[in-house]
Amino acid sequence: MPIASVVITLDARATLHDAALAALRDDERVEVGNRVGARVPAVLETRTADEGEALVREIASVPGVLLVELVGVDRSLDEGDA
Amino acid sequence: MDRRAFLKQSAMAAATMAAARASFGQAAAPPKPTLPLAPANGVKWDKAPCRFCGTGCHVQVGVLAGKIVAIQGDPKAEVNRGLLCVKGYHVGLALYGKDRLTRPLLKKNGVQTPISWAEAIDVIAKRVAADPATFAIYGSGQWTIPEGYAALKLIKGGLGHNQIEANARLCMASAVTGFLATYGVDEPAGCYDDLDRCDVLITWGNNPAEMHPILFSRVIDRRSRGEKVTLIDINTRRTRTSAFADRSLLFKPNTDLAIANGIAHLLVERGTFDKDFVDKHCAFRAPDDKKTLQGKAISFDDYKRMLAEYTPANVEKMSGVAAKDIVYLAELFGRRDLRITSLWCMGMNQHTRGTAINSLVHGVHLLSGHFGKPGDAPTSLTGQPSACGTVREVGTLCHALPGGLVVAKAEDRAEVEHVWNVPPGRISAKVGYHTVEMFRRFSTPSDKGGDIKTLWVQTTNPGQSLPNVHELFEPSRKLADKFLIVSDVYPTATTKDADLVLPSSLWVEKNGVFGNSERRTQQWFKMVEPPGEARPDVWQLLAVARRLYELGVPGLKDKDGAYLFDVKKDGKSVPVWDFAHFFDVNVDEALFDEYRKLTKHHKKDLAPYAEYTRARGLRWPVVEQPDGSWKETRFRFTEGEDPYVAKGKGVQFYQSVTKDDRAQIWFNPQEAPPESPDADYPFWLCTGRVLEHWHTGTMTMRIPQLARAMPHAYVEMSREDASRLGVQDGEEVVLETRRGKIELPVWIDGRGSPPPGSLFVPFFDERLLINELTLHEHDPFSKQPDYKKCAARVRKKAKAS
Repeated sequence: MPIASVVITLDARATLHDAALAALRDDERVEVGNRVGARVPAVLETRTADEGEALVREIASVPGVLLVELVGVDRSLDEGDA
Repeated sequence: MDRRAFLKQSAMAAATMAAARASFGQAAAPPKPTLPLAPANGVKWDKAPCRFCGTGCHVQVGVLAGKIVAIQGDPKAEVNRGLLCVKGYHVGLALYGKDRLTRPLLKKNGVQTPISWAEAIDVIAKRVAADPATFAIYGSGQWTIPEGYAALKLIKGGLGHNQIEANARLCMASAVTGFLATYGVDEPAGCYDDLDRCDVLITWGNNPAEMHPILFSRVIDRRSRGEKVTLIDINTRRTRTSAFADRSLLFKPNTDLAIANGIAHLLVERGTFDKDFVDKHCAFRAPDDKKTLQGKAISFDDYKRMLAEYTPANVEKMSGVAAKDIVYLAELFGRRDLRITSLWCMGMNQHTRGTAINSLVHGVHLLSGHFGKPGDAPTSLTGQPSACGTVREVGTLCHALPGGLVVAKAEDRAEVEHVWNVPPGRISAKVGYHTVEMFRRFSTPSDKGGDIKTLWVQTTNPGQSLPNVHELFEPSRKLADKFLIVSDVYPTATTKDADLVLPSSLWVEKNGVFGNSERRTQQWFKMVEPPGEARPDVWQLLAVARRLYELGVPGLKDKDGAYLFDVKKDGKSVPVWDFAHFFDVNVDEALFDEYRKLTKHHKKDLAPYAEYTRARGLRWPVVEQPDGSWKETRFRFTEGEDPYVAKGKGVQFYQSVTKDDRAQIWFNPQEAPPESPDADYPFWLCTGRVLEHWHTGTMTMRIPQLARAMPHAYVEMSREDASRLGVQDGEEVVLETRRGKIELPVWIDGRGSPPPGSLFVPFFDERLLINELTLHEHDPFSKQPDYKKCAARVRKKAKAS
């Protein structure tokens, strides 16, 4: 169960921005934190590293998301997955 | 709270702090860096620069039970301030591919057979001792600084010749010659801080959104907070970077010189250049008849006359970039109220006119005075983690010595001989073979001039990354008296047919020091054990050197008869060549502290090794302060920043080739490339990288997630060309140049979009080896081949009957 922390940079345009946040909150694998300017911290919890990495890409393709940057990834809960 | 909840809470805290801290260049103090993923869960953390590209992001590596289980962007690192690109997700996994090389393998009767390390070292040493002059080492910008330094010292100090090269010759040699021709000394004056201050960012044939995403995000983040940063993408195909650009200017391959000359022409013609800056700090230069890197001095009037034909209308004809866009660029450079940063990488360097275009872009900045202030800088980027630190600064090239010294100068050789305590004359003045020539000679029969017979490759994969491998690499594998030694971590296109394969330690399985694109030297300690019998490359070099010493090769002794690589602890020599004692002393520290003695000559001063163990890298020159601390330099040649600029000078190019503190503004004409599309081969073919894979994919193709995300190479083609050829997206085609052909699928409107008449193929896939098709013609000064343009044709694959 890898746990990844990311920073998501959102488009400044309000409609895109709000739609992107809504899409992120709809995904139960994503815990969205408090916005810091255009950046949103989030934690991703997935069953496998494969799924986690795919989720990062998925988020990057959400309309209104400009960038997704990784902060960290921890696989210590599932050492075999590392 | 259970461990899972604790980790999630810690992760959110880390992300929140990173989001706040990521306000690069802002006045507000960032949150105090902490490590939220604390040792409470049993994970032990330590710092290291990322193993992949030349950006030099720092990571915190979490180790549990001898294995890497967590990676975190280092919140204390100025380069990335806690953030990583998607490759960071996998940097720890790069160590754990299932097919790691774990034992030395010697080819016996055509089969690679496990042998002991002792036998492997003996085989190499006896072969080298029998014929030292025909032995060469080929490394890379993935060598650590101590590894590269040891290899260089073995060849130049131990064997007395200069047959050492590194694959950085293939990716940034033209940047080096561009800096040398302009400033008299290598490497950028600016640094990443420029990205926080520029008003305009121009990417010249560069795609940082994919290749240097952490740097690119600094600019995008500023824009997302409402700052105005104009992004101009000058390229031969649309990329992810183009998608963010305010203007994306597509030019015909090879015509970037015309664009730069067009900007300079308008600056001069309209009088909008920075006359004061030019009068005080610059001189003018043009190619000479002898075609030397230094060229000849010209007057401003000469320069103006040479530029005269580069009118906007003519440049449009040459380059395909609209005249109004050339005017726009010139108007931007003509403004004093803007700060302009230029970035480039392989697009400008892998160019038969690479030195020339590098010099021209520097020239545009100098001519317009967009230099020396934060945000005003021409800056080249590198693709490998220590292309600058190990190759450019240590000097692991056939003409170079450490610290910017060169073998051609007697005083430089003497300085190095003094530090190495070897007799005068030990270092040869004869320049060795550059990369293409080294491999050409290795692939040529010995009785026909192929005078490189034994080649030791470390930390790179030339069997895939060389251009035109049919000619430069593959023949050597069929010649009986050629012997290829390869140190690597995984099987590669190069290990496949090697005569001797040595298993190496990777990244945090050993100590290391890298130097990134902004002159930042970064250190790390070993954190985990390598698999099987894998050992550090630096130990391999020192073990061979010791065996050569034992065999009586005279160069392996210094003037006093001591072993050339003698390492002492508490005044006593440590037998570091014996692996049982290798870690009795920090060999990296010993080599680094010897090397740093040679870095002062060209004012590239490094601090003692111990300083780097505490820092997240320091940018040279690093100079000791009266209080005993060590201060790095952000902006070179600028008063108040660079300690070597005299008071009152403002800007001082103190390494000037003309010895008058002036930088050189070059004129270089637009010229035709060695190969252009024609009736038989009507397309331009360009090669390059993709986000998922790093270089030849040796590491990233073994990470299942990355391999699945980008499983194989492809050819990008415009929709118009695909329609004309009757080719569908995903359909296999035959791609052919005068050097070979491969079959691969077409990608239309993919990640990159070449214009009609152009194709793009990434080079990470050894099964679809595009470098069987590329051209090995190279820049006359840098000797860097041009991977970015050759003529090609495409046809539909015939259906099986």
